[in-house]
Amino acid sequence: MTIWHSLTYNTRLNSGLKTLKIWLGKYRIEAKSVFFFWERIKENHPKSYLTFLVKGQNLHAFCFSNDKITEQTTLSLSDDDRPHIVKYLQRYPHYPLRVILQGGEADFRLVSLKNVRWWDRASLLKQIKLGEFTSSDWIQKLRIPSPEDPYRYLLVGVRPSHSLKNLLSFLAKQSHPIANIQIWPIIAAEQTLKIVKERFPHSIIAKWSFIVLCQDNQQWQLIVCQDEAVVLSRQGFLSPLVSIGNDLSKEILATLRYLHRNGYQEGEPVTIIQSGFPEFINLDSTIPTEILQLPEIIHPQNLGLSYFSLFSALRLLNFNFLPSLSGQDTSFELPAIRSHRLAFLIPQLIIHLCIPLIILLFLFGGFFLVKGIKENQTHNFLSGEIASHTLSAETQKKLILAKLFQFYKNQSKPNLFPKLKSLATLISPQAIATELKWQDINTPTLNYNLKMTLILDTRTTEQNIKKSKKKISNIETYKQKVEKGMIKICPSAHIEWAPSSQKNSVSLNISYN
Amino acid sequence: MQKIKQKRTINLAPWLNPATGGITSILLLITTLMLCFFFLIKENYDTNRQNTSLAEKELTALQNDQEVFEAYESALTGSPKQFHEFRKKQFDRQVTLDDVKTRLQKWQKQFKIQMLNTQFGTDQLVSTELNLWKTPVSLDIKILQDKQFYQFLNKIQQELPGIIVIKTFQLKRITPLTSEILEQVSLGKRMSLFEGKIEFEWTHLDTNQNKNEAK
Repeated sequence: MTIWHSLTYNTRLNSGLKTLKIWLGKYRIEAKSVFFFWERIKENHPKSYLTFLVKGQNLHAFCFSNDKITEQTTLSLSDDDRPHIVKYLQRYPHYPLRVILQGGEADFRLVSLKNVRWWDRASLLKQIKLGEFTSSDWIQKLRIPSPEDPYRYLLVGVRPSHSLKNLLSFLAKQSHPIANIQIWPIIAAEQTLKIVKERFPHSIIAKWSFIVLCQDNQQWQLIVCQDEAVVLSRQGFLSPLVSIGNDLSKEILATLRYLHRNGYQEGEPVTIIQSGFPEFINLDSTIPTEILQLPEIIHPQNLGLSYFSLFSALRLLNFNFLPSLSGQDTSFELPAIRSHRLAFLIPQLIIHLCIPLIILLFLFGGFFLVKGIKENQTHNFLSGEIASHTLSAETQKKLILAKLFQFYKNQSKPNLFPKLKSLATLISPQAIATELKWQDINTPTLNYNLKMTLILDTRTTEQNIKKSKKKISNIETYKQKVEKGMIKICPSAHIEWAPSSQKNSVSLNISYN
Repeated sequence: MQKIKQKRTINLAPWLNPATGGITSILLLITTLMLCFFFLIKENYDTNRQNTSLAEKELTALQNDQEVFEAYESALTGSPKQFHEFRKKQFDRQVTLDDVKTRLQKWQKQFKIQMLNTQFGTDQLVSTELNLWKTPVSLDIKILQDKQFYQFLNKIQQELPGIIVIKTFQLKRITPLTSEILEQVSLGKRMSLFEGKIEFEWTHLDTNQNKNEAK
């Protein structure tokens, strides 16, 4: 499916600046490139070009050399005639090409969005487009501000025939640069009004103006303008039986009745500009009318290439606008064109890189901004908390004492001697320690270790045995006594006995908490 | 050719070309501004985060201080015995090595210790905030009775200013108790039956030392 995009160059607003009104977006940049490409063509070929006038099923080709028509031929739009078109184009290999559509294909719709809020305008225009035109139409939106209405838009829709679409696709594949595709009523209206202003400087063109053009001896064209913007275009055949003046007068009156729906008020003055007719139009009505007569016939082929119409260009998405030029013998310099193409590729590339980068920076920036604000709020809250928790100078002194006390509580160890005393009581009087070693072992389960060499008093233990009448050895009895006693002192204690080299002596190893 | 070259120069610098200069310049300007804006925001965020982190630490320290202070206050009223012990150990006062030596000499006489060899190790800083230092101390002793050794050890643990953590102690009988030794003792001679060694860590407050270190 071929998608057409219409582009705008508003000469009324931007001709002084020679720049397009651009918006962010690649299509806008392309629009600009079209205009500047066209400027380049004019620089290189100011006087040599081709004009294709599409009228009905015919294609009228005009070749201009030194701004004068050197050749004029009629071809057919049908696919069978393509070899002839190719042959014709090959004769003028690098001439820029301008296509003018003349016929009843164009529809106009003038919309006022003066009282609409700006954020609703785009949506409303889209709705109007959808309502008035079909998706296959080539639609051009133009803002034509008038003194009374700064937000006046003209929607121009062209319903291309199948053969016209095929022709343009075919032309796009050729080596000729297509300068623009123009609609005849708009070109004609602009050109006529321009001439009228030059010829009749004292005449004031009314709000509603009727441009009646004699196309040839058989056909007339009526173009209705409101504040110099085309709102309607009609075509008809001249009747040989009725006088031209009366015939066109009836047409104009009928059109005025029709225009009531477009805002024409009863009794409003109108200006009639007629061109190419031998007699004046006699409007048989009470409507105040001014009739201006232009003797010359305005034809599409009469317009020079430097003329850049309001309805300037239509852009195909699959259409390489900058042609690949073949042959080196051309005056149309290839490097210049390529560098020109680069000039639009670079900003496009920048747009493709910059816009996502800006979006990313915006998103991350926003994220960090929000996080930063939250962090700031947290910091403010914490500062408040710090202020409320800060101690006075006197309390600070006490705090040092409190910290020392805390440290003392944590670091100081319990007194060793209560347990050591109990142990000494348990060991004596049957034994005396000749050697001992106490250590702070500080293992996960046991904290202290005491290793002793004990000499047992056997006499005492024998007496004890006699008393208890138990037949066990002296040392074993003593060991049992110590172990039982140790359970009372420290249940988790670990006791080990080892023989000693001395007589009646043992080595005792106790680990306890 | 000159014309073409001139055009090329213009075209290769799209920001200078009136056709493309506007949008390119605006975009580059916006991108640059956005980058600056982004880095400023990021910088601001980092600073705020750092401030918050510092404030959090400060607040936590203050809350801990408050808890310590409350514990101290409750110890004053709730468990005065522990506080009394803290006061008695003079942990909040500055004690010098000379004080310790004086006390040890005093106890040497009191417990009739025949020989006392004292060694102090290198001081280690325990807490900068509180100016607390830890000194390892080693004592070699010769004594007549084991009872006196334990009394001396108990005295060190209970009455020496600061925190005393005993790491190890050893006691060994070096001579058996004979009638000759008893005779010598009765004549008033200083005799030793036991040989001992005590090692402990002494944690104490010393503001002067900290100041010297800082210098």
